[in-house]
Amino acid sequence: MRAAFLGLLAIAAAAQDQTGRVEGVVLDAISHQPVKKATVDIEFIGATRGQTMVPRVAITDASGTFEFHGLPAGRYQIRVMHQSYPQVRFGDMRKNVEVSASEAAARVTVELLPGSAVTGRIVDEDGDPLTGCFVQPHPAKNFNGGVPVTTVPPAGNDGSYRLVNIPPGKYILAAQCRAAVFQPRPLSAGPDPPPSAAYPVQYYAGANTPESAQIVELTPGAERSGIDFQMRPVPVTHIHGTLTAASADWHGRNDLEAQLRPLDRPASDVYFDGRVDPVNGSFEIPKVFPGSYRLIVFSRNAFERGTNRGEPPDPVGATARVDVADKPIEISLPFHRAVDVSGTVEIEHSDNALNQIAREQIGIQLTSEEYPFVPPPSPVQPGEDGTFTIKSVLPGEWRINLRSPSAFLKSAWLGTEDVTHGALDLTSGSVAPLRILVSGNTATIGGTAPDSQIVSATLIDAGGPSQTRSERTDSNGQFTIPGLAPGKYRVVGFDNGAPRLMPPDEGGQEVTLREGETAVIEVKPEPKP
Amino acid sequence: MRALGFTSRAMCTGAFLAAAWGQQPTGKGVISGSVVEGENNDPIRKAVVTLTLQGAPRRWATERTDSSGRFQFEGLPAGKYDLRAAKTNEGAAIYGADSVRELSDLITLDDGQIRNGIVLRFVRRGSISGHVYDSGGDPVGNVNVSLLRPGRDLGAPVLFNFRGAQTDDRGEYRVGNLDPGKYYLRASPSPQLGGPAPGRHTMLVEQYYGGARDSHDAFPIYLRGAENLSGLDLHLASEAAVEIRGRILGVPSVTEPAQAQPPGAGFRAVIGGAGVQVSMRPVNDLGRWAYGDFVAQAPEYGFQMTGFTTGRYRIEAVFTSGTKTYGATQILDLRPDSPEILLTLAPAMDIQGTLRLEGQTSPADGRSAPPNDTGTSNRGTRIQGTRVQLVRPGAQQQQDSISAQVRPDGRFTLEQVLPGDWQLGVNPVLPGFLKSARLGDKDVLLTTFEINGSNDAALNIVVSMRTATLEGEVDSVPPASKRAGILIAPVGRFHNLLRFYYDTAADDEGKFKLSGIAPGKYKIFAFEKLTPANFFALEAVDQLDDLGETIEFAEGATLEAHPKLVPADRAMKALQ
Repeated sequence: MRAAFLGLLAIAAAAQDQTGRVEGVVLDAISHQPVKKATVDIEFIGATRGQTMVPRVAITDASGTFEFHGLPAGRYQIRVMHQSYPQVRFGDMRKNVEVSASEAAARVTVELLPGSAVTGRIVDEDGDPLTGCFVQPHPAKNFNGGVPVTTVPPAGNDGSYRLVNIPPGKYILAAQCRAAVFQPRPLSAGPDPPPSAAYPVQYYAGANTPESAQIVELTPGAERSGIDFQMRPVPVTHIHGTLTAASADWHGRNDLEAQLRPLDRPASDVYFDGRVDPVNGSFEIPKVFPGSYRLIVFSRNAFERGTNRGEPPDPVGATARVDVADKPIEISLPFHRAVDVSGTVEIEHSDNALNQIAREQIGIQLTSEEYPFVPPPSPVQPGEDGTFTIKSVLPGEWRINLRSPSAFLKSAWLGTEDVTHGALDLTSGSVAPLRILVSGNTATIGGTAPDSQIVSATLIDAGGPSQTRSERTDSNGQFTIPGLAPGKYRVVGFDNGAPRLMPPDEGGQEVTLREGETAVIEVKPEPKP
Repeated sequence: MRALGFTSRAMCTGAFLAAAWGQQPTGKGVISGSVVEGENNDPIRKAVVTLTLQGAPRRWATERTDSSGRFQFEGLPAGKYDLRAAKTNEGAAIYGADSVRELSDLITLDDGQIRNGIVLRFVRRGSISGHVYDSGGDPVGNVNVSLLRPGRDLGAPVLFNFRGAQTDDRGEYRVGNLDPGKYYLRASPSPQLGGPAPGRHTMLVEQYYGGARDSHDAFPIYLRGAENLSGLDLHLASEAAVEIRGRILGVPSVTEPAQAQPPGAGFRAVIGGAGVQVSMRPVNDLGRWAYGDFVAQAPEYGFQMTGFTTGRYRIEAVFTSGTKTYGATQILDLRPDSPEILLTLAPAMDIQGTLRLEGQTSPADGRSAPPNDTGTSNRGTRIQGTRVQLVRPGAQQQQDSISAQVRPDGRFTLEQVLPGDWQLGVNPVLPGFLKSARLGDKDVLLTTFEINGSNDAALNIVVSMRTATLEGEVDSVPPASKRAGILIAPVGRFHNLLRFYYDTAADDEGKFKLSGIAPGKYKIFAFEKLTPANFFALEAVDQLDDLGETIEFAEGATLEAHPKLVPADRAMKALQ
């Protein structure tokens, strides 16, 4: 009998007699005391032909030790979890271990760095406790990077909150309250009026923006108390939107969704998400704080893209920037159907055989930050004559994403407009032909990164979202990142699990590459935040 | 840059509010007073006070108490008003009531009358708190603690999730803002921290407060008004994980690659190649999370998995090939020595059906159709948006159901329904009642029924709009208040089905009206000054059975009743 399990690596051994063991101990990195009741699981990351695997989980005993036996020889990764330690950190919760088929056990020591805690109170403008509030830590160096706190519990009825298991580091702490600001209502029927005031996000200590926030340093195992917030309401307004039929008609469509996203926040940070009334093509967005926003309306069938249902029929959309002050906004959005973008790809001639690329190595894709949750159109390969068509591109600003391990986008023109580093404006529902020149004369960064497991090179100053390529170092600490477009890069080395906490716009070392150039550098690991 | 198609418009807030609220009632009456702590008369500040004028449409006003606990409403027309106050997560006050179980006293306001000095007594809500420990006495964090209340699932007693909390790193939990009543607690360790998970060999066991493993043995917790019950600790035992082994039989030969799941196929993930998806879900209580999804692979389609606690599960196998689905399901009492499980696949089937409306309101003129209209017409728009749903018994999760939209002609198709036990639902049931449901010649109305691979019968559902109406006046002897909670409870087959319990409140003259009643035999009760929702507990109603009067409704009937008042102290005894 054989069995396979979803998401697991494992099954039973074909050659049970050739197995080995792993013995280990889990320690607190600060006190060096054993950590009992830690959950240890082992993942097979290197198998030879004919081997099969079993799922394995162990719990550490009072002396912090654990053991796995009957393991087929190979390379394993050990992952340790404990409720009192941050769940995801800089790689030292994971350890790789080589198991050989012998009597001697592979030995491994895992040190867990204890997390930090933050406590405080959230009160309203009168000093009364506020309910429905959350405090969220953001890495000071990478505000939008997110922090692997397992849960962000709401503040209690007395306004007190407590966050635990935060990885040590420097943070900006933000409080957000969903509690409504009271407004009286005269005797009347029907729904309440839209709110005229609300509590905006507040950054410790009393700041309106992350830039003016006080940075809080959290040390391992320590609890930082007194991180209090006094929330103050500010005026809010509302947006009333109406669709106007342009190249598409909204009448009768009940699958239209409106989203509002602040322009100064990550693309995934949706402020409002609601349905468009299929009868009158309108939508209401209440409680909007002053600021600049991106408003998009699109058909939900666009989500079907990327599934095996194929291209969605007749996706439609509309997009606009909205600047909100203190007055209600009325906006009409021209509603367009998705367009097909056609064009040609020319491959730059090279006398160097190493730089020659084939048409099959090229994929052309369009991506947009305006639709962060909608799958982009699938990449297309140019035909034998170099032509291509990308189907059903929603209205908005799009960028060309050349998908090729060995080529870069040298130039691109949308009609007569140079879009090599800029966006394609497809708002109006019509589009000029796209001409793309691709070169195989790419650059390479290589060298040594003895203390890092991963090296990444991020193209900076290229416009649009950052483009990063990462490679693992080999057993000698060497790495090679080929297929890079010319430009200025920031090269960073780090451990497994760290990317979410790495600052994207600082740290590392800058390297400028010309076409065809190979740069050899030594990469030092980044200090942990 | 594109041209932006919007115009900023300064809108007068007042004008907007007027438009949104429509015609404002005018008057010169005033109601003012204060909200005070029930225990010591201390003022309650920043409580939101809601004043509701009786009648249709519902019209209400809100104010907030000042630092002295005072409030005032002005410009009120004459009428009868309900007055109450609330503070989020703290408690509430109802004019004329000493607890949330009581009905308010209505305030009668004459034209231009000023009623000052109204006092609302604030009743604080309660809480339940404690710790969760493991067998070694160490606190366990990230445990889901469910606060459960007794309820009914198609008449059978069950516990359903009412509220929840999660233990913190100290193993502590707290559930607040609770009204008095009977509760149960259950601690469910997460898969990451000792709960059910593949590969685990010892595990923490889900447990009810008091130590029970099964909901039937769970220990009830009685919370009184404003009570903060602490120290309700749960000690989770560890036990060796139980392994399951089994085989899937009757897997058809794969002749075409798996494709997207058909519309309405619900939870069936599509497995590429020749895998059969097997899932294990605990049964008995409602609202429990599912776990244990894995794949049995060709050619033997065997499966073996550890990481389960002993207990009752539904095991289900699903195989998808192209647009065809095959399945098998079984209820399993899992024990350490459980034998090999054999699941034989049978083809899923499309079930065709019709939903017929009887006596629907004509959309053209808004009037009801004549009482003798038993036609099959589904004219109008009421049927639009109605879905017919099949749900696995005891399931609370969306993925354990299959549903179909009813087309304007009343037809629907439930696609690829797997074999096994199902229950039928119609959502929404419209402003009518589910009159009949037959699968072929089998009555499937409000009962669990089986679908097997050989069944090709049609599912015919009738929803009738001809509900009954009850009007009346409470029969009471002065000085007893005529303000009463009115409840009608079904007699006979549907006695255990809470969906056939209807309630309203009689005004201070004892008058009441109830509409939308499904025909049948009922008992009617009038509970002095008590909220009728208190008596949606069957055990309480059964204790008062001899105080109710029998009444029987025909379809579309309007009856009059004069129920005798059940004294408040007698009714409260039944709630103890």
